[in-house]
Amino acid sequence: MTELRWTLRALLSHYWRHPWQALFLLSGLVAGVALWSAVQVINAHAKASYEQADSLLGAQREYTIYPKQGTSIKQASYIKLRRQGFTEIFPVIEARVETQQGMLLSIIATDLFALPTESGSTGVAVAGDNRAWLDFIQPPYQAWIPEALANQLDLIQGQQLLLKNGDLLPPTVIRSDAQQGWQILLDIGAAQALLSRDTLDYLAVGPVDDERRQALEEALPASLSLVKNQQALNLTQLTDSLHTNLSAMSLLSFAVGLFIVFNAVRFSLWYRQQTVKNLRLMGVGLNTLAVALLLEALLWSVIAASAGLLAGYAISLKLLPTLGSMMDGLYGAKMSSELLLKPTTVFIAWAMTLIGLLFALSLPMWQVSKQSVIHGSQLSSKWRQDKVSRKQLGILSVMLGLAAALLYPFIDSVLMGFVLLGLILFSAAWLLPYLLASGLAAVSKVTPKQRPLLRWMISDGWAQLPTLRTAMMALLLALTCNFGVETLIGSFRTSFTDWLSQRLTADIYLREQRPEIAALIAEGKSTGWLSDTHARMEMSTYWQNRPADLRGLVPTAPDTQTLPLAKAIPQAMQLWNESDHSEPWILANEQVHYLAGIPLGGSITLDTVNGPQVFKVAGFFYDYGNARYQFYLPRQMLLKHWPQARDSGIALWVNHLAEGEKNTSMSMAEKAMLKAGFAPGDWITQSRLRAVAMDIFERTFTITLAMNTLTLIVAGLALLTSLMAILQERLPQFAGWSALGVNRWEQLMVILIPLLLFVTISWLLAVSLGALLSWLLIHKLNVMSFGWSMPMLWQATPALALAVLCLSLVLFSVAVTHWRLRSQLPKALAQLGSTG
Amino acid sequence: MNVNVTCDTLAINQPLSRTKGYSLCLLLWLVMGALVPLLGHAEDDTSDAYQVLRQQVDGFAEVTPDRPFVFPDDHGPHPDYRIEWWYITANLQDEQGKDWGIQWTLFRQSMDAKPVLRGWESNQLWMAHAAVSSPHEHQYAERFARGGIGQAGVLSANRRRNYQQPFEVWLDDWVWKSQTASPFPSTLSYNIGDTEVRLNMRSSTPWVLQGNNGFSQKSGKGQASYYYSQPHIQVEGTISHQGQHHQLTGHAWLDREWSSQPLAKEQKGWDWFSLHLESGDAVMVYRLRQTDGKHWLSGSWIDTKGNSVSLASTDILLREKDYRWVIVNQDKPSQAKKVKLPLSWEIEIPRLDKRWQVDSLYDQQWMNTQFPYWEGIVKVQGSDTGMGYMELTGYPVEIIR
Amino acid sequence: MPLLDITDLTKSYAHAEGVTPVLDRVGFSLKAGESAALRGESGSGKSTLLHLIAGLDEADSGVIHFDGQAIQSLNEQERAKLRRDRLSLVFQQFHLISTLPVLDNIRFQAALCGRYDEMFEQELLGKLGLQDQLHKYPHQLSGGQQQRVAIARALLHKPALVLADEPTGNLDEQSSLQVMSLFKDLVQQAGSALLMVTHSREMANYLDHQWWLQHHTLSLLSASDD
Repeated sequence: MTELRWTLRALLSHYWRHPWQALFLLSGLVAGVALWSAVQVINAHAKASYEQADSLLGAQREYTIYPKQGTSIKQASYIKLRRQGFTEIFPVIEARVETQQGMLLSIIATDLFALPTESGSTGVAVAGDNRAWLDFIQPPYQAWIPEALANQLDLIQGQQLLLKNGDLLPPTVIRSDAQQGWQILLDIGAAQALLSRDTLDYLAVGPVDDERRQALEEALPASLSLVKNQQALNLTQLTDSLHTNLSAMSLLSFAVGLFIVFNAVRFSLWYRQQTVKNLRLMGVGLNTLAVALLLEALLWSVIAASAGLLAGYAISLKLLPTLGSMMDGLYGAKMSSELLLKPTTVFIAWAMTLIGLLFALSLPMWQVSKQSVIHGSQLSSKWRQDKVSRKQLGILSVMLGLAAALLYPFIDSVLMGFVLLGLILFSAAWLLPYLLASGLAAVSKVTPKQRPLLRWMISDGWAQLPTLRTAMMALLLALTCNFGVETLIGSFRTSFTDWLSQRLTADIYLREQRPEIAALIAEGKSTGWLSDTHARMEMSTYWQNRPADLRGLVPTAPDTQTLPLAKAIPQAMQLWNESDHSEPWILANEQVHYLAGIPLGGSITLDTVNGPQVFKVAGFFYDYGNARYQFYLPRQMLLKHWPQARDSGIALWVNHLAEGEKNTSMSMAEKAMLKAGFAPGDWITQSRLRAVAMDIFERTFTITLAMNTLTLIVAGLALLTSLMAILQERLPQFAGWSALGVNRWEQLMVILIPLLLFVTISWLLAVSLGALLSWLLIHKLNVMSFGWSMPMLWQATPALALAVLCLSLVLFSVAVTHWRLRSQLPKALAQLGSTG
Repeated sequence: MNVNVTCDTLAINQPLSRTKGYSLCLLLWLVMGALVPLLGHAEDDTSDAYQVLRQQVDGFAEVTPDRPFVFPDDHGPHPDYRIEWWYITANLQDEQGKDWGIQWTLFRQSMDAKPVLRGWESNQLWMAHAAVSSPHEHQYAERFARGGIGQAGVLSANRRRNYQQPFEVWLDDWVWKSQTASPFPSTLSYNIGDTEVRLNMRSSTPWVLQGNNGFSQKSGKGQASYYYSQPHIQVEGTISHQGQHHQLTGHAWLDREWSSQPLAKEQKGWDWFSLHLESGDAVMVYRLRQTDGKHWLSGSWIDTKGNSVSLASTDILLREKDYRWVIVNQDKPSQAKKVKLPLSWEIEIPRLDKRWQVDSLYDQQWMNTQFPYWEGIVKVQGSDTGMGYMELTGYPVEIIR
Repeated sequence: MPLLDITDLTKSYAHAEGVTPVLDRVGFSLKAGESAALRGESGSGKSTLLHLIAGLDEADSGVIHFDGQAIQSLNEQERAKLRRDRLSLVFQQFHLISTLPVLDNIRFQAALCGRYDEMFEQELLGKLGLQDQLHKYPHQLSGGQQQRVAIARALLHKPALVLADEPTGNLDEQSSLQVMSLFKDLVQQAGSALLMVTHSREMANYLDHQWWLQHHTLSLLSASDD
């Protein structure tokens, strides 16, 4: 024990005397854990926010109870359901009111007491901002107005907004909850008083299981119907894919962390090789040394895991907006801490660090044990062996690459996809030293003979290469990660936005068609605000024993004509529109192509009222995130084969009289719809739909990019550590050169030129590797697990931005190194020649 | 919070009302007032939450001695008073002789001294707490509703009008309902998750007016409430729990209480006991814990016929025998808390030559509601054997780090 | 029985250009408490010999007996124990642990083998003049002082044999002689045998025997030779 204690003391005293090295070592570990845990939190958080996007004030809304006739529900019907024990339901009133300036405002009202909570029982949680909402539910009430809207309306806290009809809204309370959107939240009592009515618009239903839903359906009076909440976009399904991809990237950042740790451990041992040698001279056994180093690793892993979790928590808090549902301002913080404090999370983080450390330690330890005590390793003496290691790594790399190529055709699960990604990554990382050496050799060859100084600067790269090797691999992976995520997100964002704008071309979507619609269309056409409509039909059926949706489109409608197709036969839309084939053409979503394996022009047999009917696929349309098969037919065709198909929503295109008058026509349209007898909850505008979808994505994108930059910075730190190590060891050499008359500028170039060359090669490899990974993720993994693809977008801008980032990283590292060199050189010069 | 010297001075002189329901009123206040961000913080320091009760709100009716009680009118709400409750606890046994217990309470709170009873603008707020202590576990739930819309309330006959109005207390489908104007016989039905409770209750003994003819003084400084009880309620019914139906019989205890004046400044919380003894007698004892250590004790002894004897501070000796930790939210480590509670007691009433040991049947009977407290079954040994209910409030809850 | 008995020790290093012989059938013995100087030209294999004795390197052939035990028969673990408990090494580069203060450096090996004599420590510190340096770090000391620390460390646990490799090689002549005479005295006081590599005749003269390594073999020198 004494031996172990003293050995540990000697080993650890190093960090006490050189805290910077402890910091470098920790930074890699902490970064790894922090990135991993922050990605966990962000993923969980984003998922939760998708779910919340469709909820009212944190209350999930799975079903809605609508009146069959008219637009309102009697309060007594609601109370009766509550008294039957249906505590999942809560009342809602939606309305539009007009400001003095003619702006239409959305109002949504509910009873905060009645909102279902997560436990399923009724309950009230209080906003985290200490604001008494006693005043919210009691006259004169309050109007909770989102900050941006309040700014637009020039409202200050406590002010009452004057409406066109002379009524006043309750006193303003400015809220910053994301969920509220552009709606003004009122208490039901306030809304009824404002609108002079005593009824409700609809009843929202929180999460219910099948049994419960059935009970509710049975309990409903004949005048009400329970309708599944049809989301315009199923965000959860859509984003599953994004998160699979992000998980892949977070694994990548873990790999970066691993390389960084490996680098740090290697240097921490190298710096202490004298100590290790002294210890062995004094008779400390290898076993004791190994145990001491293990204990040290254990210590670091505990510190790093806790610090990493803490940092991850801090990062996630910093990056996550105060999302907080209205009901729970501390939501984000609570969720993060709950997730990060879970014993499994803590354990995984700790195990990850420890395994990373042990992995990093095992090779140097093995080397130390093989090494004779007296011949302490010199970094530069290793460069003779470097060729050998390079070759070994190169062979390993080729083997991994071959394995990846062999595996590629057989991939059929996400897990195997990840294995493939891992193979490719490590193959590339291990190939890097070989590429760097070849690059160096090639550049040496073309350097003119009459420039000896330049030749010397380049050839010095041979001395730097062995030490820089691991750091360069870490940098490569960090760059790859960064570029891959950038490409992935870019593709996702671009195609999603394009898809949204192609798919959501109409300005207003009406939830269902009602008899009033004919009058509305007539009115719209005559007064000129309405330019086009598209009344769709739909029905559900089964295809290949799985639920499938059939949609009847009007071929002339604007959105049908611009329907984006992933793959199509020539003149697909024209053929699709011709109904006189015995095997009519049909459009199917990509899922039919990828998951069911139907080729273009392939046959689809569907059960119609007249028996099975064969269709041929004219094209596949992008259908992001849909978990079901979907087919598009011309409306008439659908009706011919399935007369029972029902009308679904109707899309309205508003006539944009002139640029800048969109608001005017939109408010005309909304007023017209109100007048025609539609309730405000019956429609959703394109901008709102789009805002809901994009808001959430943007947040995840921003966070992910921020995380990636962080990874890169940490990798840069590893590079700096390596440069410092080189400097430390080669100080006498620099002193020697200095004595020979090499000036500071030339010394700087000796460090800079080879490094620039190495980083350039790494960058080139990273850009291609990142593109390859994104391609695999988008075209292989995504298609495989979700059945849909998207066009991959390769952009030069992020690659160039990355180049700039690399350059600044190199310049910064070299500047720091050079500064250290300047401060240490005089001493080294003084020692020159004293002993060797 | 309108804490100022005048208020404090007033508060000290206010009579404190009772015991049991206070936690729940506090809860209501918390909910209504939203004075503390609930998630995490409010529960960390329950004594802070009590602070809400120590304020005074002007304009409500005052509790004064010698008020005549009129039944069935007084079974209904008294909206001129700030807080009020209908509080049922019961000790039950199943066919195997195992002990069960239930608690069911409806609280009313007036947000303003001028009651508004109808419509969404009503300032009457309702909160219900329900719990089932099975032989193995304690389940609980809470619900909220506002008055005026029919979602919650109390209907009671009135001598001048609605003389036939059957008595009913409810929030959503949690209902205590009688077929007649009298609260008994009646049925109580509610559910907590998939545990369903259906109990028939009857009683033939007279109402017990607590304290001085229903004027229940709570401290030496004269704080008080109106307080009456029915300690002898026979219960039979079923609880279906985890898919099994249990036939249960036993005794329930009803407390009715209303008041306007909040707690005194120096009162931290209370310990309350209602015991059903095997002899058929019943006893109620409570203690209001004051920061100065001069705790206020009160109680009553009720024989099988319903004749009661009020017990004054000097009649009762109450001693904690054991403090134990109760862990809250064991399944959610990040929200785990612990609270140290006196779960073993000795109650002595020298005047009646009685001395009992009172122990919790099991310790995990914590109500982790928005305002948390311990309420659960206790067993009685000593001069008599029996079962009862105990409520402990105002003990500090610590977050487990 | 001699403390150290070496017979026919042979060592050569293989490299790309062939084989370089270093030691060729070297043999000698040293009794407990005796001291001997090992002299010879640069590259004559003096240091290699010390390393072989300390178990830091493997001989091609021949036997090293230490206290009757053949070093070659020990495994790495046992050699480490031998170094820890019975031997001390003093080098030209002092091999102090730069991150520990002087006092910890001095006590290090004694702590490792669990033989600590406080009186002797006081004596060592006093004679070596280190009392005021105990809480400094090695880099804050002069070369002579660092070597004194290394000597104190090597002797505190009273090893059976001290192996010294040009212990004063880093010092100027004046301090060399000073340190040497102290070193010799203290080794004697510790009761240790000493085998010292040196190129200096003056240094060698302090010791009981002088041996000369030439052409990879050992020859005895009398004090008058050379």
